[in-house]
Amino acid sequence: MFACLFGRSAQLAELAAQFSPLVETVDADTVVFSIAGLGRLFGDTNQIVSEISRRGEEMKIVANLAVAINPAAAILAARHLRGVTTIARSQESKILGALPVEALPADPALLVTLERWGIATLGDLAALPEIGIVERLGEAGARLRRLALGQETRILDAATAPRTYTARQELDHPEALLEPLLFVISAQLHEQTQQLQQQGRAAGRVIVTLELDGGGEFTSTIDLPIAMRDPKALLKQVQLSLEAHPPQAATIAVRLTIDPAAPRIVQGGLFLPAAPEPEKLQTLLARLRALAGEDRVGSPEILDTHRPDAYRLRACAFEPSPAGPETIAEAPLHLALRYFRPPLAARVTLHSGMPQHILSDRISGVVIQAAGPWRTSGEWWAETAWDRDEWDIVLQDRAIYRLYLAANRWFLDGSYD
Amino acid sequence: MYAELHSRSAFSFLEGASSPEELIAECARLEIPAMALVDTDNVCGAPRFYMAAKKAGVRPHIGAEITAAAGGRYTLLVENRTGYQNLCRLITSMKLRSEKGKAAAEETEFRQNAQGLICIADGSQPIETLLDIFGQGNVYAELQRHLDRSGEARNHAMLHLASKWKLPQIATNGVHYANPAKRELMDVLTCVRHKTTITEAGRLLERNAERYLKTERQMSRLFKDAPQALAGVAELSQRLQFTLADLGYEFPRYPVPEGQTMDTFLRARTLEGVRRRYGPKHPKAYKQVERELKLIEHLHLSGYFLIVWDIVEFCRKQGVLVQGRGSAANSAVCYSLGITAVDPVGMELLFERFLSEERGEWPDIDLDLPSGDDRERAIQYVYERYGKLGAAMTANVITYRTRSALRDTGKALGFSEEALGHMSKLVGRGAYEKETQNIRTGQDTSDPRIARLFDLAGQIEGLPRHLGQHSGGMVICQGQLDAIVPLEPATMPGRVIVQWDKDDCADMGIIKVDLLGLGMMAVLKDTVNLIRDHYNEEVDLAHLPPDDPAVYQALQTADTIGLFQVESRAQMSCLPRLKPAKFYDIVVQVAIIRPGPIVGKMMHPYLRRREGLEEATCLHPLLEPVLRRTLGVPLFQEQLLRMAMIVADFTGGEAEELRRAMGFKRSEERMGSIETRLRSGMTKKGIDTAAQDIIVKAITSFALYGFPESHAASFALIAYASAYLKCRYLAAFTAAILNNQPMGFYSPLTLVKDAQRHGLHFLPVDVCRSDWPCTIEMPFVRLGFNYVKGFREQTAKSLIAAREKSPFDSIDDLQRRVPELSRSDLTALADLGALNEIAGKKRHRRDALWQSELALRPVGELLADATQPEAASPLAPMHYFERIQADFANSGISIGAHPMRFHRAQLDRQNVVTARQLLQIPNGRRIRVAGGVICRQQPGTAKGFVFLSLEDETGVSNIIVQPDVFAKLRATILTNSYLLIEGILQNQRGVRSVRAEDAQPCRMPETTPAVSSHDFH
Repeated sequence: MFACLFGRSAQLAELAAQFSPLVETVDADTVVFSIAGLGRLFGDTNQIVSEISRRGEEMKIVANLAVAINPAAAILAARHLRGVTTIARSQESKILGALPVEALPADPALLVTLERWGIATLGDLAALPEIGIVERLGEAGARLRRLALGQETRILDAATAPRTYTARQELDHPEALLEPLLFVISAQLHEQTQQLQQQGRAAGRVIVTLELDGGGEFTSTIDLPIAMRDPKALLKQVQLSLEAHPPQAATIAVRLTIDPAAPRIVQGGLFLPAAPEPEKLQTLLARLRALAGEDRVGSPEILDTHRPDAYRLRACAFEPSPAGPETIAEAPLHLALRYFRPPLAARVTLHSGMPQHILSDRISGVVIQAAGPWRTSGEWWAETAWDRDEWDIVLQDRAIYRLYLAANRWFLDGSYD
Repeated sequence: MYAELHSRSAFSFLEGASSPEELIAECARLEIPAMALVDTDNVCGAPRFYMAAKKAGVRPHIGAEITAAAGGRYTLLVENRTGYQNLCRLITSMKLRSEKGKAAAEETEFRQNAQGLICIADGSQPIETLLDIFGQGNVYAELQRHLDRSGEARNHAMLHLASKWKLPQIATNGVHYANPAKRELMDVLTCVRHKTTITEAGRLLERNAERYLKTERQMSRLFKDAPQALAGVAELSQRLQFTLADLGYEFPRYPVPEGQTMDTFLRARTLEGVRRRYGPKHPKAYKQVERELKLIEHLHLSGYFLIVWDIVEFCRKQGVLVQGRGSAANSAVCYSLGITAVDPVGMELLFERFLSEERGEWPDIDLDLPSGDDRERAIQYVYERYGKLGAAMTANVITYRTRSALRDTGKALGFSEEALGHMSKLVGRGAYEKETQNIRTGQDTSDPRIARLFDLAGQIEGLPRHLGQHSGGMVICQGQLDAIVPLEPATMPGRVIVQWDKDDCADMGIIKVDLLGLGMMAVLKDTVNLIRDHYNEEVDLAHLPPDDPAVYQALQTADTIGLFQVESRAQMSCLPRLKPAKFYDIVVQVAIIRPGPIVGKMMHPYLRRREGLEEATCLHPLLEPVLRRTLGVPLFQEQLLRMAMIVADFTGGEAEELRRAMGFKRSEERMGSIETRLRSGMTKKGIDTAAQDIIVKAITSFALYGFPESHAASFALIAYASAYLKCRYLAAFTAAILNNQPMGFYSPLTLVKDAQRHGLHFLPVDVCRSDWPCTIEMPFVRLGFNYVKGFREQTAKSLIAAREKSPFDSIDDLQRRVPELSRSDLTALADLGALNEIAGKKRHRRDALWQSELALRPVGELLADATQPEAASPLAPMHYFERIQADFANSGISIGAHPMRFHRAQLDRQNVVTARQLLQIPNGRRIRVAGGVICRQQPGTAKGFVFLSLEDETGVSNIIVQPDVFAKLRATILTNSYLLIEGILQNQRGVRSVRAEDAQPCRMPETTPAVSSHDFH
């Protein structure tokens, strides 16, 4: 006999595992498992069903439960009949007969054919002659008919549940200092990474949860762009993260969870330039983030827009990136511009529409040569809209600057090398 | 002097944001004396550019940017006629050998067509090559300043090259739009072109808004360091002497027997025709023909008439129905030559509406042909006769409409497909709609993105999107048409189109013949054939009984579904009031439901006068002879012309000029001067100011949209013929109209239901009896395989051929002997009941489905030829409603009951009346009606009113929805296939309709098939 649970709960498989080692997770809402041999433990089928229901209630699971002689019938009944359904041997077609044919896991084209035939329920389908069905719809049709009759048999596809890497340790007394906590975390990391290694896995994400004195939890999540399992490197990352964002209260217990990922397999290239080891680089970046702030570390990326100085920071890439589209590159300017960040407010005197003299906190002087205006505007559809006129100016000291006027205000944008 | 010598218009298709007229208007405003239009790979906008420039006093230079196969573009300007011809040939050559949208010219093509062209070098092509192709002195170095650094680097390079190769320099602004405000639109168009969104387009978009038309002062300031480039502009502009006035077009000469001229030959053919049409003694007709012939000879148009006559003769010999429409029906020569079917002498039609000396333009003859193969034969005949480069179809410039504008703009602005689908479903058409669409779509207009969307969509509306093929306009040329206008392949294989639309061709003095496909002509022809085959009667469409009472009875009761021109919702609501009782009434009926008479408020006075509710007075006693026939109300364009001729002594040509002045491209100035002339003429005749005002208003209000009487008469002939055939030979007419779908106003389902209400019985599709088209099995109509969804004509032919060899024994036998039958074909046939009776054995549809599924299973070679015995099916027969569902699913129509019938008991409980019951209910009563929506209309003249037609099992009920009610119920009305309407019954002199106060979805079972609706056309 087989039992099937159907409901919106993440604990269905856990419940099923309490009764059988043979559990098949059909989909997120459905598990089916064998209840053969449970009679000696719980009694007859009704008693087994009661026990499953009881434990389900304990676990606060809301689900349909169906028991039948084969998994397919149990699944059909659990999915389409509310509450608890027990299908006794030979009663399958009677109980399933009223279900609509759409309940069957069938190719849509087959369902269309059945609809054309006026076959509305499993009972209608079951009443069709087997040979007639096989002749017309082949094995797929015959299987549907067997399903409708509740006679489709198969073995369970029971897979091992995915492994989790979790450790928890309660502390003797509330601990406010970071160092003792790191000592505990280090031990947990060593233990878990050893297990990861044994199973050929690495850490993709490390989650440290600190249970705090007085209630509440503090969580630090470290996403690792490159999966790794070196406990020292992982501990350093945890340390930097906790130093940057320490918990607000003393800790009474430490919980460590590692989300496993496939380990990185890299073969060194003869012609690849030497680069720091990713683990070290990650540690370095973590240090920089702790110092500068999360959103201020990364690789600058020039944006595809005419907006001046438009760039964004993206996460550092550790693999060589393919060459960008050539359209990004325009006719190269022969001078490099060093941006002033932020740009320097300036006062500008004009003569015949051209800058004649500038005055700012850091740079002032007479303009001996000017080119411009260079006009750009855009993103008129967004709040980032801009509209500005730029001049390239040479001051008396022969230094060259970029000057711009936006919203009637003048700024020095940068200096040319 | 500064002239802009590098401007793109919207005819660069998504690479320019302003129309040629906008560019010229801006030129005129900025006092720029000359401009060159250089659109991408075409001269589509040249005629409009030229016409606008001529009016505005701007010198129009023509050119194009030509895509080079080696990369980049060549900017070419036309210096003289040779240059223009070469440009046209260059574009034609590259377009005709390339896939649509991928044309590019090879260097050899540039070399072959270089003479007379000036090349503007922007540095993207090697100067040596350009000099080699176009010659020293014909290549100019171009400087542009859009205030960007990279452009300035390019200018430096150009100056260097100009100095090195001794090139003259010119300054241009590379204009893409008329004014800076259009930059946003340009960005949107760029996104549409690159199929991207505004946020992802990046540097595909403009760097700034500098590509607008700049004044001489602005350009002088920009190029103060390069005065030689500004001087070069003036010099080059002077060199460009070509304008489109110098096209060199010549209409082909008709080959005549030796010893004859085209004039004598035409005269001989016409006089033969006069004798045939009018007999030997009809002085009035002979006099009119003589007058027309003299004018035709004087205007050297004999060749044109002979060419049209030649096409008509070809059709006649091939048994193809053909009839001239439009103003040609005003000509006794056309009538005599058999080109038109309306007697202009008998109907006192005005010849000047068709042709006049003063007008100085070609006459326009449109021929109606049966749509489909017959029309194609006529078109191919013209191609064969005048050669591939001697004849072509005119283009149809596809412009952005409200919905396409909203959709493309919305996509570019990053709106989701779902949101756009919703919005475009709810926006309607026409000016009234546009004003209120923000509100009606239920969008939050305070959202700046939505506001921007509607603003930009409004700007994009009306701009050209791409070139299509006109439905029938053909231009013909003596010699090479590709030297007059570039040709390019149409989407339809074997078709070539010119780059101008029919109005452009008319403006450029290129004569055209419209070979228009008219679905109803095909229906008439097919009906006559069916009558011959099944009724054993010969019907001559030219000699139908003129006053058949059944025809007028049908017209008077608006029983006109399927009839030509009088079947629309608006026509139906007018017919019971107008009560046509003779042929001329049909002419009036055809003409009266037009925006002209409606906007001009002519319709209701005419109807009131017909009903005796108002005295039939004329606007002025002098106009009595002109307006008597239409009870003192002007309804036709000819009346307008005659009025001007009588009250103000206009000549025929001047009167026609007046009509044109008030036509589509109205000019206030031109109208003003004509009105002044009109009034001074009337004053001379002693007509007082008050009467003058009425006459002027009458003339101006409907000149634009009024029908010519001749055109209405030609259409009335077809309308009468369609009504006669429907009334007398319903089976033949219905079969023919079903075989010529899509056409007309109603879906095949409505046509079937209407025929059934008239007592016609239909037989279902049957593999043992059906043909590809619907046929007649007296007195029934048998549905053809053309009403089986997805069925191909070739499959039907194979099936019929197999059947004719020997009847099918079984479904298995059918499947084996017609291998073209696909699974879906056989299943659809079974589902439709087409396999119910094979070899005398009766089956129900599910029996057939059961057997056909077996027949479709592949068997091995050994059993391939073995016939399977049919075993009894275990399936239950379909019940009636299921059969209707299967009919709709597999053919879109049903010859069974209307879906509403199955719902009637419930509707009765809801006090819903049927369409037939409406006829018994008194005026003003609150009632409920329900049905499938077969038509939703919102005419531009109806001030926001919406008209619905609901069909139930007893007929059609008409619903009027007032603008405020529509605003409230918009989503319900537009998104439901079946509606239940509650409102007040209005009975206005026999015209019954329901004024809707509430609308709700008519609750039908989910499986009820949706009826198709003719919406907002």
